[in-house]
Amino acid sequence: MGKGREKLKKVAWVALFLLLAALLVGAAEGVLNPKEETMLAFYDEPKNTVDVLFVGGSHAAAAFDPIQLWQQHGYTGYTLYSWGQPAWTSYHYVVEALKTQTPQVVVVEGFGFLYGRSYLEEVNFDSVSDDFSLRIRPGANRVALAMAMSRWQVNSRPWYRYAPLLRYHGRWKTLTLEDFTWPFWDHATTAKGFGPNFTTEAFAAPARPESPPPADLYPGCEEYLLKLIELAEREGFQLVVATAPYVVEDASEWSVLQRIQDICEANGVLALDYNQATLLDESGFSFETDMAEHAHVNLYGAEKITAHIGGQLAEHFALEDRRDEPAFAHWHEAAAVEYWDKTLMRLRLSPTAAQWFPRMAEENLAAFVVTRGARFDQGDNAPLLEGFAALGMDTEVLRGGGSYLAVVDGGRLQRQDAGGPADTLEASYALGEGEVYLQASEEQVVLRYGETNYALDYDGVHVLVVDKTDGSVVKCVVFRPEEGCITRTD
Amino acid sequence: MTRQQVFERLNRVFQDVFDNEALAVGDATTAADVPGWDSLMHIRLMGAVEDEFDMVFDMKDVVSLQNVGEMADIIMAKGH
Amino acid sequence: MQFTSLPFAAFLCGAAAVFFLLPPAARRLFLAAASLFVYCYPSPWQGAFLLLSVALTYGGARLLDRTEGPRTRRLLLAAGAVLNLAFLLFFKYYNFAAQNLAALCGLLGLAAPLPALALVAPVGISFYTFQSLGYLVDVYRRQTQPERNIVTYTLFVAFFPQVQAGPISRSTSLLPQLRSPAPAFDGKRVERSLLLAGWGLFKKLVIADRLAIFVGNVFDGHAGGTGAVAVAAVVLFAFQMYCDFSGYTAMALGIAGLFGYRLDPNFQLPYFSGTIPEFWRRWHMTLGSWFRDYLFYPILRNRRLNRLAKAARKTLPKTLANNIPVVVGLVVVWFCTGFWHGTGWNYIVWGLYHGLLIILSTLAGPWLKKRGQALGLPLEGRAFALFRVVRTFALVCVGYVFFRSASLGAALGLFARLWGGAGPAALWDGTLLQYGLDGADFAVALAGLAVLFAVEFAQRKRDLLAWVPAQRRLVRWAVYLVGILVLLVFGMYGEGYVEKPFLYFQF
Repeated sequence: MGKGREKLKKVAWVALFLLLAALLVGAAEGVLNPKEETMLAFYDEPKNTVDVLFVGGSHAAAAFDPIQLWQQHGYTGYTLYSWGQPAWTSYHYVVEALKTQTPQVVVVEGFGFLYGRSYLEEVNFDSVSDDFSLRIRPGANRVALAMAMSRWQVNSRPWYRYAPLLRYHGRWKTLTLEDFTWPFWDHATTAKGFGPNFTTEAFAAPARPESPPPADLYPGCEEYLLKLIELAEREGFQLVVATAPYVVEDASEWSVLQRIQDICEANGVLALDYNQATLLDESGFSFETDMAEHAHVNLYGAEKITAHIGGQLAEHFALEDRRDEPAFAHWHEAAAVEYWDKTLMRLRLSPTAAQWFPRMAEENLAAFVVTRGARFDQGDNAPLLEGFAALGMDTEVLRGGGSYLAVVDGGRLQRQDAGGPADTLEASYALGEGEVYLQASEEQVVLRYGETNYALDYDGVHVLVVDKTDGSVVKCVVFRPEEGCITRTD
Repeated sequence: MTRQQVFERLNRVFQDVFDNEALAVGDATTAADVPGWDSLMHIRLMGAVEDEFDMVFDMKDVVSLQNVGEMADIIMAKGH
Repeated sequence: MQFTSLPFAAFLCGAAAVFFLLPPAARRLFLAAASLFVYCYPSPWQGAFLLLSVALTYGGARLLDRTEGPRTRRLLLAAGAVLNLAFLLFFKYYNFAAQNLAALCGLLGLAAPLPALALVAPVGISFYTFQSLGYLVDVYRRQTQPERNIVTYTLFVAFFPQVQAGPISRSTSLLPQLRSPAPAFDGKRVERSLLLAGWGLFKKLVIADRLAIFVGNVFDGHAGGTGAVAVAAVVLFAFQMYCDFSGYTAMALGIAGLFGYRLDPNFQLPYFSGTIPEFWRRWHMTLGSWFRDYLFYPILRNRRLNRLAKAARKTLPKTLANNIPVVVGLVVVWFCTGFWHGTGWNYIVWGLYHGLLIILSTLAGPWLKKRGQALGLPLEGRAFALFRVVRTFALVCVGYVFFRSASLGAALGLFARLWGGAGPAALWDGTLLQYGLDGADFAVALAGLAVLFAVEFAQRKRDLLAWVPAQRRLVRWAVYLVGILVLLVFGMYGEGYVEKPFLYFQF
């Protein structure tokens, strides 16, 4: 009897030691693992407030804008993404999200189901997925995801998937205070997971064949698509599969996209393949202006996709417009912040004059214009001239190629001076703590704010835009006549 | 030979090999107890003991002797 | 399979669990099977040579035991030894022989007679060949009874903690343990063994593999370091070498101890030695004692050699003549030691260098001591003791230049680089950070060395392996938990790290 008790005591002590060791390793993981802002932000989002959950990889982060959804429909949305997200990761992310939220609609981005069948080779997909998919909280769901990854992904580094510490312990060299203190502050963001791209690359719209030959999905993808459908039924949310546009190059990918469509339709799931001509037309998406590069949509594309998807959600599901609910007042604040960020972003995007000038009529922006010698009488300069006119600025001097300077503060023209090509004009304007000095002379153009002269060494209309909320420079561009009013910046 | 006689003669051999007049060995003496008793000296010692007692040690004895007592046993069995 | 790999850790856990759950009668068979399994797993063909060595020496020993005639016995032993060594010699030294023969023929204007082959030596062949050969000789000398049970004998040769890189066990120390019934589970013993293995892992993963980056870049890199940087690399290599090999040995001993078996130690605080002979009594002890018992002693006691020495007394001074067997023995043993370590002239030079130092120490040592005493030097004081330790360490470091360099030419090149070049200021002005190891890693390596020093200083007075597990639970657990954390965080393993096999695997 006594011996048995002795043994039990020893076993208990060993078990306690192992428990302590596990806790210590867990704490070390908490410090050493790279902190994934997107996940931390999601966990800190107030519980059970998200009605529409977007899940996917970088394609999703680029295309779905929850704040825009809020502004247009009052739906509370969130984009939960991880880079390089294959189908099984999407599934487990939905499971993870259901721990803190009760969405009514879950929109899964379709690229994850194209694993093994798209331009992105498995090895490359895997290496990104290995890096990012497992950055969720430790628990049964993470273990299940690790098992799914080990089963379906081509790369096989199984140990590191179950114990990320083995992979990231080298970060001890680059630890910051944040690595120790991250549990103590709120990571919730205003963007709600939206991560737009700012560049534009023009493409020809990919030609989709009438009826592509049938194809199947990668086995793991089909399995997890069906598991998602099953999960939706079990948990009581509506599943939507939305595939963001990208430049489809391989003919076989059309077949795979069609297969996704077919599976969804067979199971009564709303499928929105934005690569289809009908949806492209409906949303007004254009491959010429709305792609950042061959794989991701840009800011303008996101605007169109989100607007269209919002309409689809309104049409198919009975979601609540929460814009008047006092509990969701903080969403309005978030929207205001996001709106400002987007305005600045669009200015930084180097658009055409037609896109630029209307945005300068913002209360929190100050614009400074100087030109000398550039003649805008030939070619298509209409957008620039219209933009000038809309703000009340003199367009004759532009046609004649003379010297000109102007200040537009808070959307209103404060002063403008015009002169001939040989004249020297200068002005000073107090802006917040600093001062802006403008000069147009025969030798040079000066747009000095603080210590720096932002005027570039080109002939054309120089415009310096300053964010009045914090006194920082948004952008300085040059509109040049011979290039048809395309901005040029350095 | 009695064991006592063996040890008397052994002591002389040890004192000669290790150049130490004060050296005295007993049954329990090991290599660690005598300064300078390394592998080289061990062979020299074995050779000197063989000369003294007109005998030959087996290789296995050379390698595995643990203390002087064992050495004395072998000498009593084989030596003259 | 590398000790420091995760698959091996999984294997070890599984094997230990099964071992202790099995009835004692079945444990030996299981351990032998598990040893063969883990040996063959990475590359099955190697198992064939291991089993060949086992079969040869097992059969040879039983035959030897039954034979009476001294000549026949000698013949049997010779045949067994030659056959057993043949594989080792072929796999390790064929290409070396072919290359040198080709060079020689080239000088004479002849074509190379032997083609170069793409040979991969089976893992541990240098070690298990010696171990099984030692057993054969022990049976010949009637020091050991031949083992009748083939399972026990296979386990003796293939026991997985020691088959890859030693310690080289003797039939008198390991075989009796394997013959007796498997020891019962003992929690304290398991705790001690894990502590030892963990300490070995610390030395290997935290210190040795870190230093290896710096050392490797200075020795083998193109922007080779000079002056103080080269000196630093040599000194740090001395510690890398020690931490790597003693770390491996500690792990081997710890893992064997887990199952209840005691292997012979390989190291006894070697860098605290005062002389080179003492160093070799404390460094890689099982190899040293193997060469002593199976090569050195037979040479010294060879009758023909001793008769030659006696005859030489007529022409040469007495002391010189008397020392002929010793010198011959030392030269042969140290040539073989160098040769055993690697197939390159730099290893042979390294071996003979140490051999020369030992010859000098043996022949001139007593004379120097008398001179020193006559001059009234404070030979007993602590200052002198410290001087001896530093002197020995420096001599060992000089040897390491040959040992670590890729070739004899590279070694001489490094010697040339030691003079001139970077001055002592290079040690703290950041020059050291240009060889692949940044400040943070250097700090950890040096901190590791500081811990090593502290532990080894304490070890001189007290057996820490017995002392730590005897402390209060709070203290013990603190040590273990901190140790685990240090290993996990600061170990050189995982993505972005190149896995470094134990240095002695290549031997």
